[in-house]
Amino acid sequence: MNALLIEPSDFSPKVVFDPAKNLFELSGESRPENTSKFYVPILEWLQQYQNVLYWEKDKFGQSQPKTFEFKLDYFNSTSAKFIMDVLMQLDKMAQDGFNIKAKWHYDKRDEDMKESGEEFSKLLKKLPIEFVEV
Amino acid sequence: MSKEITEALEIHQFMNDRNIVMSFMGELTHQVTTSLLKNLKEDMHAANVDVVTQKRLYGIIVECLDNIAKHWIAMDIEKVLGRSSPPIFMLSRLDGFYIILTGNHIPTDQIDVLVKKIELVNSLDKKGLQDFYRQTLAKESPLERDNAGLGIIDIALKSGNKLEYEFRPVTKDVSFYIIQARISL
Repeated sequence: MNALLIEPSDFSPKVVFDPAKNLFELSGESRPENTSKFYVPILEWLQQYQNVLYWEKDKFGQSQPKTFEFKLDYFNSTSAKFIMDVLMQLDKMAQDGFNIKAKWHYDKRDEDMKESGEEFSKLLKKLPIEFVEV
Repeated sequence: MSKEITEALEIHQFMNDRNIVMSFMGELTHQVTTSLLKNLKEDMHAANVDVVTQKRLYGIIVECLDNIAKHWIAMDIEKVLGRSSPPIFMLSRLDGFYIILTGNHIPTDQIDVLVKKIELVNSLDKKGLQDFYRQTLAKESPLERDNAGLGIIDIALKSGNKLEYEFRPVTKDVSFYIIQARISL
């Protein structure tokens, strides 16, 4: 499956979802002009990736563990809803038995960013979130 | 001295007295917002504001400006009023606080819903606001994405102070809505 690579801007995050390198990262600032237009392709990519994982599991058995890294400096409330959708999608994969976890990175001075991650995690059923202070 | 120069001097004096560090009146496009936010980052950095306050202030201003942009798109003010009347954004640093104030036109029939939302967030403590934030995040479906709700909770959480507001009737159907948030320096 092709990687999803989106370059960052002053108002939108960098996205690197690269299955070949087993690298999955969302980083930077998120307050896109059109939040839906930015995040819907990401959600669609994840949906396709989930289908690929099912196919791989069927053919080869369990695939290698995957870690989705969230390294956000800031996100606005509209982005929060879509980040929640991304996490929900990952949670669905975890519930379906895939070995997936998330890492939520936050600046040690930024307790709000840590608390946001904690609020997200309370809405998830299975996806483990590891908090990483930087 | 012309009337215009006298007025300009009065405005300058007022802004100076109130320690207004940034103000903007006009159409708040995403491009304008990005430019204001860049200036804000530089101003906060130069003023040696601590990182937590910087991030909270930045977050409050983004939500306030996003909110104005949303109403601006929704309402064609010139058609309604017969003249241009753009929104306003003001940031001042006074008495140990950063004070963020925005003003924009809204349809009068939205006032009740807005007042209820603001009064509700004003009645909650931090824990209550976090719970409310989580509930709002969980219940909003992709189809309801444009509904305000999370933004005002986020402003209240980051501000740590009660929000103040005012509605001034402009016509029967249109009112001017001012909201003010403050954050301790």
